[in-house]
Amino acid sequence: MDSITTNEEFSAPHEAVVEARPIWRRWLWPGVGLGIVLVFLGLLTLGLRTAGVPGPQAGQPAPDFSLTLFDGKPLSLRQDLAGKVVVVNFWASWCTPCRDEAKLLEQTWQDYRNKGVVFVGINYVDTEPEARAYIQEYHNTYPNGPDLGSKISHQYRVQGVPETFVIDKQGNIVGLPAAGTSSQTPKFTGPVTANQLAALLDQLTQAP
Amino acid sequence: MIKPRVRLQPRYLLMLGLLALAWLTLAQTALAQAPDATHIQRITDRLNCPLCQGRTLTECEIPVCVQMKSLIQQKLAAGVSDDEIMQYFVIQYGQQVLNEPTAIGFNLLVWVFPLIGMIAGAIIVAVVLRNVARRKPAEAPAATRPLPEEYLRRVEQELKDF
Repeated sequence: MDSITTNEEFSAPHEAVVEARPIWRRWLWPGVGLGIVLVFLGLLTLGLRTAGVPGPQAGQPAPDFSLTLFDGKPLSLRQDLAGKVVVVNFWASWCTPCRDEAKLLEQTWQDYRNKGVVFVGINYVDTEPEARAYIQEYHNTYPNGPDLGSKISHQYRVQGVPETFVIDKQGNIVGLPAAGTSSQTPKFTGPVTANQLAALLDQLTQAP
Repeated sequence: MIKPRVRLQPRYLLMLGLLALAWLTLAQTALAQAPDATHIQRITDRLNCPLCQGRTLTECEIPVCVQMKSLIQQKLAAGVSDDEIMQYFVIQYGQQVLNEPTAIGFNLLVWVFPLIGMIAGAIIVAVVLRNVARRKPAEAPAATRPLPEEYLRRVEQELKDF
């Protein structure tokens, strides 16, 4: 019993000190903590908002991009290619399926270049010497450039190579029939075939 | 003083000298070959594979990484500096190619947050420990508290009945 009374005596002055602390001091640390949490949440929201920008969708305007081509010339989708049918092909020198379509792409570009169609090659996560060697090997003559900082492939939500998007004269992503569903897909995943591409380009060049 | 048993004779010195010379020659040839591999690795350790998550270029053998490593070797052979090579890869693949984000602007948070976390953790531990230390005298150890008469009586009774 004795010990308990002594303890009460001990704790009494301590309580008094807590009561005497000014309000600002009592709220200082919880305030700092809350501030840090708020700043963190704010940054998180900002990050999620930038990540939430939608990728290319069938029938919707194609995300604008500009790049410096391997020959040093700049190219901008909206500025330089407005009113044209644009075939955007993402490729890499280390990608084996890309090689299956490389010749076909060049051939189709030659067939349609005077009909208001432009091909653009975007070199995805690659090394310059190998990319240049690839272009030479397949005699690709259409505009081609590296995707510096992988910015365009992020914008277009590229998941692998090859992927090919087709943009109509109005600047919208052309919806393509998706296998097995009634919905449309915004891109060719994997190498394109001659028939697919030619049929589509005929239709698009004749459209207003 | 203890006298050394073997006195240093000139021939021992000569032998030692020759050994040292042989070792130096060997070490030098070893060093002359080494820098390339270690030099390349110093750079590949600081770069991420641009296609796989959380793997450095050193650990990765997918085609693009093999190409990147060969490009580093070519650039080093051409006399390009380490920093210029790092810069080149950042331009090509973006900041995410760096294994350690540069401490500039927004990225600074990556460096500052763990520090803030550690300091905040230390403060919390300190405060909790201080409170525990203060509260301790209030809770007298159970053993020193006398047991109520009632319990003692019941224990005695149970023992008797057993």
